[in-house]
Amino acid sequence: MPTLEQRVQRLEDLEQITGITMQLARHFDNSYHADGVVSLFTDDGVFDGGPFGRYEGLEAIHASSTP
Amino acid sequence: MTEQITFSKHHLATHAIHLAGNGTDATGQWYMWGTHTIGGEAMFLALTWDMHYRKTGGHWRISSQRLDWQFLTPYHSGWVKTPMAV
Repeated sequence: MPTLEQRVQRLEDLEQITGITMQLARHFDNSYHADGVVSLFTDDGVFDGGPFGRYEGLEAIHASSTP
Repeated sequence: MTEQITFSKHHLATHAIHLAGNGTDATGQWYMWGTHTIGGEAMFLALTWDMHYRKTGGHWRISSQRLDWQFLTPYHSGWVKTPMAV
């Protein structure tokens, strides 16, 4: 059986993951706010847009979302 | 593509998040419905965000985002006639 602390941690993890995903959508809708977008990615983050290109790392992702 | 988008609304729904047992990795799938203006044209977008997350320094961050496209279609055409206007 997971402890109460482990159960709460799991809920906090799920809530934070949902939160950053919603923030990402809001940064996109805020005229593709590139600084906001990259603040949500890991340093080695990857954005793969399919036919719209693949970008590795914060610098590349930042450039991709700059209008 | 982003320079051509003058208006966007990303709507996220029907998500599934899976936490790995190690406490620092997770995956997520989100349906995304978009109502955008692209190149001056009203567009409907339907895709799935295929996400990987990693916890670093106590914070969850996105380690990868992959767009799995279902359609990208002009409002006046529709996804049956024009599923992918790339």
